[in-house]
Amino acid sequence: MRRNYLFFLLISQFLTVSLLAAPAETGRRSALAESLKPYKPSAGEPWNYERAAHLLRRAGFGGDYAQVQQFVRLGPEKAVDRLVAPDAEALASFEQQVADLKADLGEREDIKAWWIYRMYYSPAPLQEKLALFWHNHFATSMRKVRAPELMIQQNELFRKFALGNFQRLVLEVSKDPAMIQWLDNSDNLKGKPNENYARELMELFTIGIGHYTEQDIKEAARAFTGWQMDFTGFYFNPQQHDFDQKTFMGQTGPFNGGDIIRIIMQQPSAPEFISRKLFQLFAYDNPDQATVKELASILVANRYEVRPVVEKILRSRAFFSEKSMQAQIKSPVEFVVGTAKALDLELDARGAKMLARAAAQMGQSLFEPPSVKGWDGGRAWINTATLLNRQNFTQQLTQNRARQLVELGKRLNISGKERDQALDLYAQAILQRPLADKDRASLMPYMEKIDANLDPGAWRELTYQILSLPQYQLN
Amino acid sequence: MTNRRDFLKNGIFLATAASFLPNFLIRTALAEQKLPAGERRFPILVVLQMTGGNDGLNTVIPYRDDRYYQVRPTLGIQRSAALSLTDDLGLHPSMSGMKDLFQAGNLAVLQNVGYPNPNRSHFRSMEIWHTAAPEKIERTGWIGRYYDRYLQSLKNPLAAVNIGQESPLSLVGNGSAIPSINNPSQYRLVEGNAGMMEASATSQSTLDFIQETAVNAYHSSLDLQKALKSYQSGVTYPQGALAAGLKLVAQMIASDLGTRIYYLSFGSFDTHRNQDNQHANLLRGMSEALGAFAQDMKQMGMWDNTLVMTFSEFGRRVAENGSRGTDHGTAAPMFVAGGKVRPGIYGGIPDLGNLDSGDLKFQIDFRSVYATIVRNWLQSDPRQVLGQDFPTLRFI
Repeated sequence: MRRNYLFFLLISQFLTVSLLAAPAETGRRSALAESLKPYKPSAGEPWNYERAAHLLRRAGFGGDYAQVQQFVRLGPEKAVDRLVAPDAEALASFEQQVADLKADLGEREDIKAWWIYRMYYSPAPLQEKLALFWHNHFATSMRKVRAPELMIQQNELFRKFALGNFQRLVLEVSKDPAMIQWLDNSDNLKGKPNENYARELMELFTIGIGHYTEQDIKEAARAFTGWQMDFTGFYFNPQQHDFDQKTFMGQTGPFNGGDIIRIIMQQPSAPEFISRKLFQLFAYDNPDQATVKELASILVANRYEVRPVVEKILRSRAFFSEKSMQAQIKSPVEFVVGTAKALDLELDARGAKMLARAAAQMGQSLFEPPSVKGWDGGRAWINTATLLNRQNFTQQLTQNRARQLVELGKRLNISGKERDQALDLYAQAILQRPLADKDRASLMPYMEKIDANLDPGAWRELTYQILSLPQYQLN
Repeated sequence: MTNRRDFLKNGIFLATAASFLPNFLIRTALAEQKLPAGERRFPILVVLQMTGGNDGLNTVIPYRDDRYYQVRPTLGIQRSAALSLTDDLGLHPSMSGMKDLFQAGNLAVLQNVGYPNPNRSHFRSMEIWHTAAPEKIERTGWIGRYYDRYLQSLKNPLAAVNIGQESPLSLVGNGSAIPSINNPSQYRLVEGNAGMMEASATSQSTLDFIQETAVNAYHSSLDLQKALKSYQSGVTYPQGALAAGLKLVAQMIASDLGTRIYYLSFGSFDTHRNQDNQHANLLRGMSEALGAFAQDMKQMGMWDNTLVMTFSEFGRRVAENGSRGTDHGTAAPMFVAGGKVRPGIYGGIPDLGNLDSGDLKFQIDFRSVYATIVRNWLQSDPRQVLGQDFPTLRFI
């Protein structure tokens, strides 16, 4: 695994270097995007607490004060190294630990808590972030699939391929029992095709609307006939497979599902489609065409390996720009897991269940996306009801965990500081953004109620007030 | 009714507010004023979204057409079972509630509604119905645009409401977000905080958006909690999320919150396999819930002020598939119910002999239905919402 990683790192650096060295040869078509040049700390865009926390939130689910400080000390390059190539030993022992948990999973609520727990404690947070990305991309719902074990199996696939090969992932997803059930491919039979999977494969998973015809869908559906599942998992049913010729995107042959995926991946729209989505996951919406084209060319040069593209984004100027840092609204899962992290809370199975339930109330029930399109995200997360939910969640959380909050205050050595310094420090630890003057003024009366012993009631109230600032909704 | 004290309170607040607060706060402040008594008689629109693609041919059944039974060997509904509307058409057997509405002269059935070059993707087709823009990708929804143009000026954060967790694209406008209420008892702020009650404009639009939503959330939650306490319905609603949603709508209407548009979604109607029971249950749920709601409105004396419109993103393919289900199709019926509806069947019988690659051709453009509702029911200009004129129909 480490060797692979080094290999891709070399490839991507080679690419960067060779493209930089020969701009005339590559021509206008592959002009390098300004946005993707490496981020270098400067006076205007310094490497500091805010940017380290931004990296931890976007490439994971946030961090507590100590984790952010550690990233500050590492510097941007090593911090990204740690995210894309996490400590293998720590990961192995973590897997051991959650394997024990997994034995108890049988209930729908349990698997949600299991994943929240992973997001919270995994030493590979980027892997979990991408697993969530793939879950949203290949959105499959337990409301139809029913069996939690099939959802976990699919989830493990997303984790395994989190930073892996996209083309392979699409093939694996096409054979994934939960997906086959979700999009009815067991009913896609020779002579009686069911187009559900073929359509979503192209529309949502690989190239997007406008890059295929209705006829392509009909032909692709025939190629996936006989791709079925039973209690043992995927199986190919030759009795139900249509072995005849198909004409798909201008090519003709006795195609099967694998051929269809291969042909799709040859379309120029395929690497652009997924590159754009990855950029939007980490940085901001609507990247310019040059950015998308360059990321797509990296993806193609690496035969659809995702890691070099993700690295390129996380190391870019665009990722650390002001635009990016103001661009996102926390998703419910980011909100609940990130809040627990920022407050440095201990999380047990009960706590993880509570977080999963809270996220569901805010509109994001894990393993139950609203449709195959996944969650819309962005501003769609926020309406008056979900905002009330978010506020009531932080109210309840701070109430239940008031004692732990006091511990956090002690670790930050709050009592030894002047009031305004103490407030700035505590607000920075939680908000992970600079405190606006007017917010400092509105928080000060709560700070003034706090004595040297950090009375839990007053300390909790201050914490709740910080968490209810509009800025806290930004990711 | 505005008493002297309220007037003074609002007057003072507004005078202060207007001098330095951003626009959206002034709006919220105004919303605290109670509606004048005469204002209560405004038209109310209730939109029911049948998510997933409702099988129109098994909803309004063309039971005189043999071709229907030929292409639907396992799913076809016999004439004897269907609830007769005319010599040619009958409702699904589970829709007795809506049959009653039809007989009472409170239901219009709009047949073969669709749009040119139909899209069979759930998401794109739903997007088309939401945005009323089949030819291009549009960021706002038709109700969102109506809200921006006609409701925002009412300065009432509850002028339009989504009943449910996820806010649909149809309600997205350029202005403030339309609230979504899922569980009304949780629609309240447990502990006050500055973030929800105070706001000031920033240079950043995302932050402004959050602040505006926060302030609207706080004020509308106070109004709603008052409403929940003040009305108990005399009608028994059936079980189910849609019925619960319509019951909440009735409570809100009774409580005089000034809400003009309610939006509810239910489903899924995406019946690719073993359709019969699933579809029957969905239609029964809709029909019974709507029947109870109509009853409630009549008792309240509000049925003549209320219009219910149903739609789905598409109908389903004319021929059933190999899994006793139906795949994505095109044109389908819509229902419009209310005390002031001109009852009847509009748009004729589906022509099963004239298909477009296995799918029905549309006869009524759905934008004509929207235009009719905007012009004849909401008394507004459809061009402001749809960007152009569409012929109106006669169902209102």
